Amino acid sequence: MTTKRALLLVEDNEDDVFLMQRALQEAAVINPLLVLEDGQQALDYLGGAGKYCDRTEYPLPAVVFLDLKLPYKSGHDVLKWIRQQKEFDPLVVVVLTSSNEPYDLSKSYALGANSYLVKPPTPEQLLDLAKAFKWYWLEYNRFEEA
Amino acid sequence: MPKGQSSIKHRVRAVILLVSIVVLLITATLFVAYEVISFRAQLVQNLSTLAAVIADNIAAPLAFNSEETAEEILSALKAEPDIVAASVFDREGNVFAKYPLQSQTHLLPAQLENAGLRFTADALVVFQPVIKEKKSIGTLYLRASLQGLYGRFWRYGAIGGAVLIGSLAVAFVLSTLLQKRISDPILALTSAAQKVSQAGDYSVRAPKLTEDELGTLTDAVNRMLAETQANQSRLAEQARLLNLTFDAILVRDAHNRITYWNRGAEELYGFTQEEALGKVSHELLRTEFPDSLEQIEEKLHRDNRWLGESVQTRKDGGKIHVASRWTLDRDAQGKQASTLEINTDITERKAFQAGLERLVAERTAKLQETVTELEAFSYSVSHDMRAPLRAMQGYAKALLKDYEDKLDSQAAHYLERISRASNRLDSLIQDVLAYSRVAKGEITLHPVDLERLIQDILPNHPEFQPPQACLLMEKPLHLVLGHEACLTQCVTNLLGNAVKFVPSGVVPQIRVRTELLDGRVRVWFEDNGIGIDTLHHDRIFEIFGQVHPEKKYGGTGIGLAIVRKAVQRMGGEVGVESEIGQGSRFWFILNEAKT
Repeated sequence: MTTKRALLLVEDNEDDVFLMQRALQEAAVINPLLVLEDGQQALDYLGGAGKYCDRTEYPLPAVVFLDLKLPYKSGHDVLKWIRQQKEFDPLVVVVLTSSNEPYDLSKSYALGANSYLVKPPTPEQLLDLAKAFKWYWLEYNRFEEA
Repeated sequence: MPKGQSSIKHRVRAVILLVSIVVLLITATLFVAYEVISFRAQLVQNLSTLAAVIADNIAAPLAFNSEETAEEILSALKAEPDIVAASVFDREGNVFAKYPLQSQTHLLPAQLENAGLRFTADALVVFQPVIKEKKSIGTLYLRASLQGLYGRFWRYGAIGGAVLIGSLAVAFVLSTLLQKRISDPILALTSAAQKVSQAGDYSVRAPKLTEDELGTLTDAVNRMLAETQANQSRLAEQARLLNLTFDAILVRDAHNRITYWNRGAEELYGFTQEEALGKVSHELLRTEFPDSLEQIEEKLHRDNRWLGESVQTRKDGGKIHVASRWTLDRDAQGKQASTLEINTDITERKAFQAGLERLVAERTAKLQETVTELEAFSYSVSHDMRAPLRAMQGYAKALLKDYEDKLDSQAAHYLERISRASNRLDSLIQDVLAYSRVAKGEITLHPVDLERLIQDILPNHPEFQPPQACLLMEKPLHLVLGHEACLTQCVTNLLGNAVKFVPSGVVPQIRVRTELLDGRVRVWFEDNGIGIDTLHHDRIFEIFGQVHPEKKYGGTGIGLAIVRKAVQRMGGEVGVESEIGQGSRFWFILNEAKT
């Protein structure tokens, strides 16, 4: 059962944003991809603060791709905040980072990440990842309807 | 001691005199007794003979009743001054004649007595039968005075007395002279002994005055004195040396009271010997022991010694640190006799040490700060560096893909080169990160099953499996004590090298086996690769110690450095046996995990 709900990418590096968009596109992911550049924006967006209160224009995503190194609020801060909000229990958070450090990994799971992905070094591997993501999270995984 | 001196002299003289007196008395007594006895015997003999002669002569007058003749015969007794009285009795016992004529009647017997000689108090008397023709016709009575005997007796007594006195005088003089031979050496010894005991002067020697036992005794005493003097000077030398040391040396009795206190102790603590002796040492010095005194004494009695550092207080109130060494001295019964305590002032060393420790702590803190900064730096650098790399690769690929028909082959080739270079830089960064993780990460050792570990690695590495390569495990592989993540890194790198460094066209073949080495396990990774010159066997384990051209085989030159560091962190060793063209046999040794 394929979900059509939006995906949120929190990533400050525009190159990585470009590569991710391109990989998802090549993997034929048709869900809308929202992009935010820092941790604070992510909190505002998810919390519906300011202009983000309009959920038709800014819908709540089914999956958040979360980088760890972010301006203002780190990925861990964002993750911690999300898991403190009862209404985001069903929100799937996929940490997508260049860090392969055991500390980052264990802290992410401790804070309630659903998955931890290290950014692949080549576009080919990133494409594989996008395909696997689509296949698992978007086609097989069941989400609560928003 | 004049009293003692006169005493020995007098006693010797008294002994000599006493012996002389006794000998003289015995001699004189025996002599006088002999004289008296022999005189008496002679007297008896003389009187018997005289009585026989007179009795013979008087027989005729008696027979013929011639009184005058009889008295005439008796008067001849005048020639014998000893005979003081004589009488003749007739057969009826009447006095027939007497001598002297006016003889006092008390000298004559009142009546006739039996024949024979007998002594009375002052005379020897004899009753001699007068025989005529073998018939007793009367009795002759003679009385010899014992005046002569007594006179002789007294004479002898006087002579004996005079001799005795004369002898005693001579003996006195001789003994006075002779006693010196005995008492002088003794007095000399006594005076030497007095000098030694009063002045403590062991250099005194007693003069040897005789060659007898006293001379031997004097020699023996002098020898003893010489030995004592040598011992004393040795002791004095030792005591002097003990006083030379900077260390405080003290001796305590079983109740911790000070019995010896050297100059070092005086200087260190400021208490003089007089102030310290008899005091309880830890009370005097207000010692702060590292453990309780009971624990220390228990250890002292168990081991006979104790070493430790204490804080003590000087007389002036200053605190000092001392390194203390105690040695227990036991008596013949094994009980605590005394304790030797040697204390070295380590106050300066302690202060220096404290300063050093502070310096080390400060520097460690600074170093830690630097390390932390460096870690943050390397973390940030490696992650920040990877992002542009991904971009380079991504855009190169995007160009190649999106503008495929507009790019000529040269441009496409350049883009490939950009992509490959960024790929390589990414591997380098990843390896550097892996190395630093292995080098400073926390390592905990657990039993690791290498068979399972390799099985887990394989799915992520198709290059280790057919058809690309042939990996053979010689089962069973022994369990090792290791850190799972580190071991995974090691095995991956070693297998990676084995499949990487092969001649082109050759399918890599790898054999993994283990070997037990007395509690340790050597894990072998044997390949059919190009091999390594023995010249390079040390270098390859260094960081960037790659010896094969990178262009030909790839690799970052960090893989084996990671292996070595990881194995070292797990307490093991790593090595290689290889020659060019002969394949390589890498190994590492870890402790065996006991199942």
